[in-house]
Amino acid sequence: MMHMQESATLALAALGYLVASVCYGAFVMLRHPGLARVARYAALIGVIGHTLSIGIHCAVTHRTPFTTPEEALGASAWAIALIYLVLDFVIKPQPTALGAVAQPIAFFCLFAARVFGTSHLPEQGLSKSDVILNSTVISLHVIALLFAFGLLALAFGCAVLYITQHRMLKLKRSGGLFGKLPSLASIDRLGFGLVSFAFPLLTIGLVSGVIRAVHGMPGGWAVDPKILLSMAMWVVYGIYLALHVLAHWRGVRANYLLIGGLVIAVATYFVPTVVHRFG
Amino acid sequence: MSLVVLGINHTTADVAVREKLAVGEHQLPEALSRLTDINKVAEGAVLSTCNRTEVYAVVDPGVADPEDILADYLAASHGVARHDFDGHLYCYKDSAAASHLFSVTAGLDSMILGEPDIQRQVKQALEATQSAGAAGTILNRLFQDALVAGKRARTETGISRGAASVGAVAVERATQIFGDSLSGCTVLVLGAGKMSEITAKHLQAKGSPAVIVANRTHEKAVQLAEQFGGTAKRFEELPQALLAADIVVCSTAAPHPVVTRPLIKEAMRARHNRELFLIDIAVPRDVEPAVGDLDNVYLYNIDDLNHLVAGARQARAGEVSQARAIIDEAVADYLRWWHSLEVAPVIVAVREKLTDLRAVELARLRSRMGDVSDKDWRSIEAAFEALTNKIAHPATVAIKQSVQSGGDPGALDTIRKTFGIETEASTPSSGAMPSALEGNAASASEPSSGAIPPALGGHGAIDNDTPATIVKPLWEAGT
Repeated sequence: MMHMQESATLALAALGYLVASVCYGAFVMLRHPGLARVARYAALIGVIGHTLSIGIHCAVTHRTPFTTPEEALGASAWAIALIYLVLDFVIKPQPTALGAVAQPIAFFCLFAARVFGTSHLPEQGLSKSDVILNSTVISLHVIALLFAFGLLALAFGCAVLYITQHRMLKLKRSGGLFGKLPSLASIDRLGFGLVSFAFPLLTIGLVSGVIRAVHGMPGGWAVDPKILLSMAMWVVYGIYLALHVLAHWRGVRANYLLIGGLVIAVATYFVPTVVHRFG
Repeated sequence: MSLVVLGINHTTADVAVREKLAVGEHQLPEALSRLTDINKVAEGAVLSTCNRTEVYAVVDPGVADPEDILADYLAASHGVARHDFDGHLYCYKDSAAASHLFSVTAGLDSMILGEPDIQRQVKQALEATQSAGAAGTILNRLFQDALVAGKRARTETGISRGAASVGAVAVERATQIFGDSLSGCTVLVLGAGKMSEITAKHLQAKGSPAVIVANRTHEKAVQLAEQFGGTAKRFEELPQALLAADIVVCSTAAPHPVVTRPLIKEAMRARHNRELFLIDIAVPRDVEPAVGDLDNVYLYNIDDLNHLVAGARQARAGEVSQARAIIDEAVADYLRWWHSLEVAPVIVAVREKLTDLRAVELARLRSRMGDVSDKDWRSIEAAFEALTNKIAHPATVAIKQSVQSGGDPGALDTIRKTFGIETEASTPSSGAMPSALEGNAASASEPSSGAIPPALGGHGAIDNDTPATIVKPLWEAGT
């Protein structure tokens, strides 16, 4: 019964993200206000459905919703959709062009988690590693990184929009997407703001991971590819922030850095690991 | 006399070629003086805007290659070789030349259909021509009629409704860089000309950005700055002004770029790479093209801006036929007026012929009649005068009607033959517009046949070594 409820709410979430993706995209092209409203409510329904699904999952399994890589991917989709929804309600004017990027990312993350995921419900009780994952330090590690990833994924969306707009301006294009994307200044500000929030979370996530590794992992964890890539990602975003704040670095190069940062983040997820819990 | 226009515009050449032939406002008097100094040119006018440079000349109909004379004039007055621009020229004669100016003035020939600035620019060209004493009866009337027709086309049709102007497009681009409101931005206006003023007005309407004006003549900079509630800078302070500016509107009359790549590169370093939007509406260009390659610098020249709004032309294509009808009507009126210059001497000649005949016959009668009282003689004279007037009147009416639409164009020749005055009357446009008055106004808008055979025949009219140097008229090509 609970399994069905979880599946139903997850399907609702996927449908919500899909409708929001289509409507945000259509709004960017057609500028019909009704499309933006539908997109916002679809995104809201998606997030509510996803939250319920995660809640049911936790209630049934008695464990955190990011025990497996697929669960972490699904949770990332939820974080991205949730953060975007908050921005959509808080920022004026609505960052609808970003919604047209964020919602598809959320949908595909959820879709991939579902397609590649194995059974959501445990066949037996909690394993030793599940107990480890339920520790406070690891919860902090995972939650901080989850939201950091969500914010950085949106910053990536901003960078894509910035570079698209930049290219259109440089190539002197008109029509199509031109005039429908936000201004370079506003995208740049939003991207910087997202990274400004993401970086402390990223730092907390990595530091808490290191603490856990020092106290519970075998030697050699520091040279694990996943951990090395995580550090590289932290350095890239650190450089971005430092250059932006101290050297007033901005423009297309800075936004390429944001894209590079997220590429490393995705690589971190997929890279083989020896000491890390999953992946 | 024959009317000729030789020119280059945005459809035949890009800005890199056009700028070589541009004539600045301050250069106009000298250009007009050089033009009218040419022996075979009776009247001359020069229309030079961002999109075109055109030379209008009234020449003797006996001149074999007026386009060649005008092309030589352009080359000599700009210090450029003919081969630099020959392939980009177009030439129209007589009715086609008149029709061309009317179309240009109405904005039908503009990159931005119906754009209003060209009306002002034609008016300025006329004023400059009048000031220089280069305009005579034919060009004065041509330009004045063109201005009236242009105004009619704009008010009676929708060609200029919602027309995107260079200023409007510049604002659109600026908002894509800096956001919907330009309130926190600074606009640097380089050159205190009319175009920069118009563009700055558009920008200021979008959130009242701060305005800085820099101009070689500081007094003009102060005047324009006061108009915008901004500050004036000396031209030498340009490097400092660039540090504060977000948007730069360049419209100086400088013959060479004043905004160079090293200047902007240095400025960008000092401004911490903050976005800079350069709007170069000057011809010749004020900004080196290489500036556009710099990071966070967005450079748009006049061609770029014009291309962006070319789509508007498609949207209002339906209005063009209505505007064209107005133009054709006005052209036909003008040509009728011009032809009336041709028939006036014929009317005078007819009347003189009749007066002479009357005088001869009266003298003969007087010698035969012997003593006649003065009162009787006056009655006889009055009767003769009435008779000649009655003969002259229908002839005069027929002559006048011959140049009216629907009139018999052959009547003029018949009357000439009847009165034996074929060779006596002077013909100001003899042979210049043989087809212009035939049929309706639409035919008047066609280039006069034979006027520009090279365009149709593919031979080099201006330079025999350069094939097809004169482009086909736009309307003939169906564009």
